[in-house]
Amino acid sequence: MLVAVALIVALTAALVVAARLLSTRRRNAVPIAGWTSAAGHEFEGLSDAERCDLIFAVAALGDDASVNLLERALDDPSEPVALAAARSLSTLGRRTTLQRYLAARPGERTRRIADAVELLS
Amino acid sequence: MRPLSEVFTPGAPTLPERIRTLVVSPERELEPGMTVRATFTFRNHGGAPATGVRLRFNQPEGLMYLVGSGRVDGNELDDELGNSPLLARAGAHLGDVLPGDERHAEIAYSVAGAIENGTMIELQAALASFELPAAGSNVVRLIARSRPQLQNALTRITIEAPHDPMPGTEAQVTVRIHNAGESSAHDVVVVAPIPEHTTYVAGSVRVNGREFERELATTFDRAYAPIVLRTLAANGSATLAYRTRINTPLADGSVILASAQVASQETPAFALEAASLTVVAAADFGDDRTAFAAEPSHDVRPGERVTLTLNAHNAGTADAERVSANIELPDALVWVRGASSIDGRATRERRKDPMRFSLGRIPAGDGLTLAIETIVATPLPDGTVLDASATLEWDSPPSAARKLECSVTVRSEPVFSARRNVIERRGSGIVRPGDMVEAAIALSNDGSAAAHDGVLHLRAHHALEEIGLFEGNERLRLDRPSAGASYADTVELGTIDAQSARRLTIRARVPSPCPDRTELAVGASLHTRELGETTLRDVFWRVDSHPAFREESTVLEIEDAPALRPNQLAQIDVTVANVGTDAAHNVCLRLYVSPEARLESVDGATREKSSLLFGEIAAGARARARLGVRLLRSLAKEHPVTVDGVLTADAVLPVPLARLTIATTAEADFSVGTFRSEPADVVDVGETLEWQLLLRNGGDGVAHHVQIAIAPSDSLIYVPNSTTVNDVPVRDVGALAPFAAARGIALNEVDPGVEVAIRWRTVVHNGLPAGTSIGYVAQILYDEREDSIVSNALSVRAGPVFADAIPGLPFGLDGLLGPALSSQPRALEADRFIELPPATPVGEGNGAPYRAQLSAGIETSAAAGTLAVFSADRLGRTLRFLGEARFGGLITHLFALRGFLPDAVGDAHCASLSALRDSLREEFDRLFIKLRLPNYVIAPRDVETASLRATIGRVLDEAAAAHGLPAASPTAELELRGTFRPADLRDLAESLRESDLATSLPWSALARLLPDDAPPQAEYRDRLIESLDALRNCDSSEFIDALQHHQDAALDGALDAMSASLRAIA
Repeated sequence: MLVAVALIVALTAALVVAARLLSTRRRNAVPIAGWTSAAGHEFEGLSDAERCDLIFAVAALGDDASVNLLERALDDPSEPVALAAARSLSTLGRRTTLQRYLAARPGERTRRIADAVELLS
Repeated sequence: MRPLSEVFTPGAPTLPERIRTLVVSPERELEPGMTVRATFTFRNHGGAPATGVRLRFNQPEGLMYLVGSGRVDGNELDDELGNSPLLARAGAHLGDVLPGDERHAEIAYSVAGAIENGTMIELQAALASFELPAAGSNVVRLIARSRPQLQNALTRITIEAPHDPMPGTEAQVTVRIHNAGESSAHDVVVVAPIPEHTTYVAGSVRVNGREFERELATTFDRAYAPIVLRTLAANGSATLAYRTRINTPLADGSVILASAQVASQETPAFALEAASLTVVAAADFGDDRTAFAAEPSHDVRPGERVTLTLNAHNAGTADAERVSANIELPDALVWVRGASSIDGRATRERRKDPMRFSLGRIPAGDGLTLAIETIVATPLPDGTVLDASATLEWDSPPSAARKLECSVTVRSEPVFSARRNVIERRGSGIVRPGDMVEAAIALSNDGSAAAHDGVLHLRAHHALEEIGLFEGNERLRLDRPSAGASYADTVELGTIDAQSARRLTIRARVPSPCPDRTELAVGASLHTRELGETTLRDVFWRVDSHPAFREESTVLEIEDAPALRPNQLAQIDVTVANVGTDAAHNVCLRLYVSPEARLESVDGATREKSSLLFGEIAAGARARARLGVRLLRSLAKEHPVTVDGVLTADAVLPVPLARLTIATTAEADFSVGTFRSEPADVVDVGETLEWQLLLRNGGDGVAHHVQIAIAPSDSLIYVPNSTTVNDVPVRDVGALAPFAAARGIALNEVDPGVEVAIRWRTVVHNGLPAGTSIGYVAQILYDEREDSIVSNALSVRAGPVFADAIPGLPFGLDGLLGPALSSQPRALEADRFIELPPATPVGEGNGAPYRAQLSAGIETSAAAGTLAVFSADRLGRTLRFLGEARFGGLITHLFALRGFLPDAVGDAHCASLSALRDSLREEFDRLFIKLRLPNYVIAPRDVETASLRATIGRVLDEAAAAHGLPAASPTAELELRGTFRPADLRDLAESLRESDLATSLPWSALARLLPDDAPPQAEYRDRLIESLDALRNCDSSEFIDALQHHQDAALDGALDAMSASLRAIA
């Protein structure tokens, strides 16, 4: 009987600890940027700064796959990350692609990104 | 490019071996429970840092991660739950690996307790970064060694029965095989012969609950040493089970032994310890097949025959010897001698103790039937239960007995037959309303039991009155009405004994009135406790009845006595009364109204032309209606209105009603009229007046002769022939107006409502004094009556007039001025408006580009010059960039260095300046973007890159060797010049080789190249150099912190002042 009670108590404590850990992880979770999954599962859940680093590293490769990834990064929920992608595309000479994207998505965010790219060019 | 998350997935091939530095211990073989350690070392052999480096190990099946063993460079990586990121899909994040850096990772596994012998284990590590695809290490292959173990305590045989192991029952033999080793056993064989004294139940063998016999070429009891399992995994168990039936007969206490042997490819055969089962056997009459029953057993009538049957069945597993049955019967159940039988054959009766029967020997599973005949005695009370019993005795051994019982329930009840329980009518079947009717009720109990709680319910027609029930000369009391009855219809009769009779008489009166041919029925029902409801048939009478109307009660009456006037409505009440005994149908009153009047409305009956339809009038009922009769116009006074009527109905002779006479009267009326003039109040002398007299016959009779006379006025002069009657001109009578003549205006036959309008004109006499009142009085004579109508009174207005005083005439005129024409309005002239020409101010310098003209004098001795060339666009862009780059801290001023880096140093070409500008833009633009992230913390890697270090070094070297001033640019719109001491930069360049870029030294050196030819630029450059030199002794972390958090208001102000001065120029 005592063993059964001890097992129940231990199980309950384990469940509580697991729930707290899960909630802590959930609080620390970063917004999911879907475009990073194209680079690999390990790139899901990167922080904003890490996604910027990923963009700068990918832009340095300069191949077609990298350009595709940068185009998808333009829709990143973080505006600085999207700006990094836009600036990289501009640096790679893909201004037409960038202008087409900016024209297709009018709005305040697009205007700010366009101003910043123009400022950094 | 193969993402790290896609390697090591099930079914995926191993990565190509590119980094052969994975070392595993042990190297070749492993056994269950052993620990396997893997270490992996890699180095960045490239010239650039690898960012976002991730490392992952695979986890082969059969190996389990040892918590806490995963380490990178000696640092433990496990999370709170003990999971190692080295085994996660995304791998462990190792950050950046600089060129030449070496990293070391290690991990340990534990071999699973159960692993197949010969299993191949492959271990590999994979490495990836932002810049590089996943690369694999060398693959280390290990072989597992293990063996099975079948002979253990869990491998055994059992035999057991679900209940007592009796002959004929089944038992189950179970062979359980358990593999206590580390690997699988192959081709497991079991030798399990069928135990003696038992028979295998065909198709009952199961292996792990699965049918097994169909895999054999023969039945299980004929197969020897079959392979029951191809593979038995480590720590796995298997069960072979089959059922056997215990042979019968079998002596009590017999023992059944079950044995088996087990073997496999890896294990030689070994025998299991045998299991046993002891058999139990005995005679038994205890089940349901041994029974004692009566037929019939319920609702048995007195005198009915009952058969008692004893079934004795030996359900045991041994024979029963000397079986006998002893029957006991109650007194009311009479035994029929000579009618007993065993299995249908008559049995011999004992003289002494005849109710005891010897049944002899009954083998196991056999039985017999004993039957005896009885008769239920009579009389018996209803519901009597008769109990009988039978005692069965036998020698098993030992001796045993069983007593069985059965019962018979008797049914006894009274009977009221329809033949002798009736109602009979007395007298004629045709009656009239108000007559008395009579019927006799006969009740007789022919049953064998008394009827209790007898209650008689009468069912008499609801219209019958004065209902009474008599028994002899005694009137019985009717207690209460039954459901739905409106009169008391129940009488309690109490107990009616068997074979006894009661005779009652019912009397009632036929109601009046009553519809003709009404069927009057009287019935009854007897309710007793035993039989419930017994219904007696009804008796009937037919009613002969008719309606009738009398002149005294069916009349026409007028409501108001005064005489009726033309167009007036007279209200006549009609009352129709049915004084008969039946309802009158299609009652109709046909009216005859004299032609001076018209039947206009009917209320209370349906009108059809001149007839009134009343439909059905019940006997004794009255129908009322109100007629509206309107007297027509133009009626002579002496003609009264008469109304006659004749009443008809179905089955009734026509009845004429008494005549109704209504007196009438009519007369004309001209008392109301209008007499007025235009103008109505004040009139000037000499002015013309329009007069109008309006009359109307406001009465209800025709005015046969009307005379209208108006006396002439001395103040008015009649305008000849101006009189009209209803706009028809009427000629004057001599010099007089028609109304002023002796007969006046005479009108004939003026109907009621007709209007007369008489108009004429007069002129007011000129000689009247002011204030004179003018008016007429009209006299109307008609039908011996006279009325007067007075006109409105006018007041004469007059004033002095001077002759010859009319201006504008060249002569005098004795008269009055007439109205003069008003002047015609002047036409409007068109509006005027003025259109002004548009204003076109023109400013000085509008549209003319401004070219800044700045010049500065510099000392050329021991110094060199710098030149930053700006176009207006570049200057504006730079200033906007600086405005956007205000992130706080010292980092803002590093962005200023990027913006104002010179284009030329000294009088020679400085090739590295362009490369430095590009590097600064590349790195600082990235930092500019990152600093837009919330809460971003600057890292040394943000400012420390190999290319930037090399470029800064080259620029400082070239600047240290520079001399002279840069030549002016022919296309520059703005030139910013500066001076520096090359010797200072030489020292700084030397020191830079020993310093990090994440310190103040390189930036202090570059600050010396900023422009200073204008006071704001000079002040900012000096303050920036001063601030950076103050941080010369700070290490990398302190300088990084200063970049983000160091506040220098004076320096920020100097930058603002310089920006403002340049913005003014721009």
